[in-house]
Amino acid sequence: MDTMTPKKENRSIVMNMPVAEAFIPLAAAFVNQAAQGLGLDEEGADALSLATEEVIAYLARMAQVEQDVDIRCSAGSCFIETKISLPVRELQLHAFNMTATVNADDEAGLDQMELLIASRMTDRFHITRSAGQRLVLALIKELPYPEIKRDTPSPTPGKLSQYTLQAADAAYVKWFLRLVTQYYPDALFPLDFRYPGKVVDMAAGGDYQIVTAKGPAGELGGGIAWRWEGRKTVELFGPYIFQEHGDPQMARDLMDGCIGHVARTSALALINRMPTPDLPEGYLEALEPKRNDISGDDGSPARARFRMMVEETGEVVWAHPDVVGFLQSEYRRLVFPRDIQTAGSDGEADEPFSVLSAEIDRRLSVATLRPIWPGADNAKNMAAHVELLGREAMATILFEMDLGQPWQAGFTPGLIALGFFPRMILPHAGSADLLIFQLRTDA
Amino acid sequence: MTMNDACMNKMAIDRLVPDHIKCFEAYIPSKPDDVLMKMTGCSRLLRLNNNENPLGPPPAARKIIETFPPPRASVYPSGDAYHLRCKLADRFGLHPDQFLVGNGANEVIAFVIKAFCQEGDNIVTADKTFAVYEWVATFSGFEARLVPLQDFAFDDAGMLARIDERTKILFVCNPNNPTGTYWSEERLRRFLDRVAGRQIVVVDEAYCEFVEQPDFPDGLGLIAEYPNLVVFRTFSKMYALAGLRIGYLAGDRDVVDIIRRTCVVYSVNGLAQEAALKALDDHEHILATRALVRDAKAMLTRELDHLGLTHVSGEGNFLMVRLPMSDTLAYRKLMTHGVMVRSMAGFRFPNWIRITVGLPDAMHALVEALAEMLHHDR
Ligand SMILES: Cc1ncc(COP(=O)(O)O)c(C=O)c1O
Repeated sequence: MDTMTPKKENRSIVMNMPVAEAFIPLAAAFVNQAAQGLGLDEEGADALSLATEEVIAYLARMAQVEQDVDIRCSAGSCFIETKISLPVRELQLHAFNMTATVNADDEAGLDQMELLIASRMTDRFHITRSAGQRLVLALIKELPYPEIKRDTPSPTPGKLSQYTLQAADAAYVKWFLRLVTQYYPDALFPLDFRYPGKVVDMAAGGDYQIVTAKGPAGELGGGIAWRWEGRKTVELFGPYIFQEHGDPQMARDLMDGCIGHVARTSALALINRMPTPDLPEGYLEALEPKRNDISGDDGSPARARFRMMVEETGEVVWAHPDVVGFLQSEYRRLVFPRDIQTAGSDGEADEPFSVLSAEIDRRLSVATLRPIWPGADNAKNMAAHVELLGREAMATILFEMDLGQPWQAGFTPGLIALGFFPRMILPHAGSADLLIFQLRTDA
Repeated sequence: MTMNDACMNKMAIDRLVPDHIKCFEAYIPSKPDDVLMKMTGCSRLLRLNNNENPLGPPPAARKIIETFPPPRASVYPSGDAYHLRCKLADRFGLHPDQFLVGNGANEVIAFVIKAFCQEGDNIVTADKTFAVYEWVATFSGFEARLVPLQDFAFDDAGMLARIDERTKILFVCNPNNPTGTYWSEERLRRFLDRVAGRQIVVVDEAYCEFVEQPDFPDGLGLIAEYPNLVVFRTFSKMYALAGLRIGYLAGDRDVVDIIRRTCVVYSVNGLAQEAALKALDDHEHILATRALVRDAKAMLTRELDHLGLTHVSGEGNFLMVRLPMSDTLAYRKLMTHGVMVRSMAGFRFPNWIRITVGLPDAMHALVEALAEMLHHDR
């Protein structure tokens, strides 16, 4: 085992240009050729460059002063990403709501929402505000991979009396995925696992790490996989044991192996949203409260689980009074020392326009909203976003609130009125903990 | 400066940061006692997490601390701990220039790595040992090759097998924190013979004063025979001066001459130097501490057996316990009882905790808290 870093740096090509109608073709051509050069097929590159055109055209019409944008095309392990970033003054920010149109006065139809149109041409789309106050629009197109063939079942290896843990190479990654997809229901592995070529590329790029239990003759007894979610959280999948009655010792060894790799990295928490029946007792804790009062359950019986990688030292979190009860009971259940301070509007003067960032994953049909700027119109703005995302057929709509940012608490009443409920706390996943709200599907 | 400029500056700074620093996360030390007690709502805090000596500094060192004249705080200390090095030389039969004193043994780890490693080099150590060798190598941009422990002990053959032409330093923690295992003199000699002077071998003896085994090697005594051997010691553990931050390394004069080029002068304060000098003379303190650790370990292991918990203890003032739950959860639960232990996921021992063995009252409080925690968990 050697010291692990979260992930390799991506290859990228950067262009800087003025935001002006005249340069739209240049941006489009740049993105098209860069994307193809980085390995995207023609069709994908066309989509990405059309999306870029939409975004730049939008920026050009919106910009009041001459401005430059950086356009960066990078190759991820299994996708091509175009990031368009520009400095944005706070007054202009609200134009980056997904629901915004150039002409905010007339109630423009969905077809005039350029950012939405751009998002439709991509697999993943998000707008974020980076450190240094730059606004970043990310357009992501996945590389195409064939789906795994499940028609020729692999034989089970049977009980291994001896095995060693090893990082899987490409051949073992594929074998591992064949067995996982064959022996486990779809709810217990990520969608990526149905695309072996993709997982091989992601593993090579450091996006997935897969460790297998390998017998003396090279037999594959089981395995575990994990990937980074940002710098502080690692999501774990498995453990998967390919034996009829399991192998608790192997499962424990795989867990120890995974935790050993993640220890001493920047990860503060390990989460497992799809725990398998092989998960050994005592390693992970329940992340979510028991959900008997909640409709819109995704049908999977096991609750998400987690463990901290580091010793908890306690901190202050900020919350609206409406969720303090939930937080108190959750922090008590999780035994997290937290000083919960209430925050919210006390009638002080507000900014007029709120800003939300949206992340849309069309493959999983999950949308995540994050507050970027507070504003008096936040309830209305969220309602508009929810309506739009509903029409875009997003099955799951989440709202991520950073409990380290007092102003974000101001979104709580609006969320609850719209039918969101506080679902779980992700410890240390933001500047403090994140509180995840989810929209009730019957709302 | 406009906002645009500020953005550009931040981007420019980002370009200055080397990849190995981008990937590295700063160590998060625990918060001070008063903050922790407020957060966890407990009225006392028993620190059983850092392997400190609860007896406190030896009396002669205490006296130095109590009578330190305030005006001396305005004067720089000896930049190279002159008197202390002379004392160490005298005590261990070496030359004063064979010692380098640092702001804790932690600091001298960095000196050695800086002195011998350059881009592309690597160090070899164990996966489950004191973290700082691996950390300093990693954030300095060098590869840390980690060899799994065998039966909780450093694996000599495994370490030798990982050496290549870019290996500069082998770190052995003897006895090992956290497992308490050690290499006998014979085993250490065999290892040094096999390395045959091709790499620097660091033997970290932070806990050597606790060891009573006759076959435990005295690293300092081996330097004359093995000039590539560098030994670390500290005043933080047995001598209970952790708060003053002082430790040292010893080695062959030529080797130490090289390491000295990278060392930070004036990093060790005068009070620490004087207290350490006095502490060295107190053999009674060592005997009393050993007796305390021996008795407390016997009591604690009995109680842990009672609770049905697996434990591992060897040399040193600590032991490891395996729990039927996540170690970091156990940490949080024990903190609500005012008991602070070391969770071991960071040592790659998930679901284990390490306990500093100390005063009977603290041990009883720990056992009680453990019992209650396990009871609730069932
Ligand atoms: C094995 C080992 N080496 C070195 C040190 C560092 O000691 P110091 O306090 O002198 O920096 C420690 C402290 O925990 C240790 O356990």
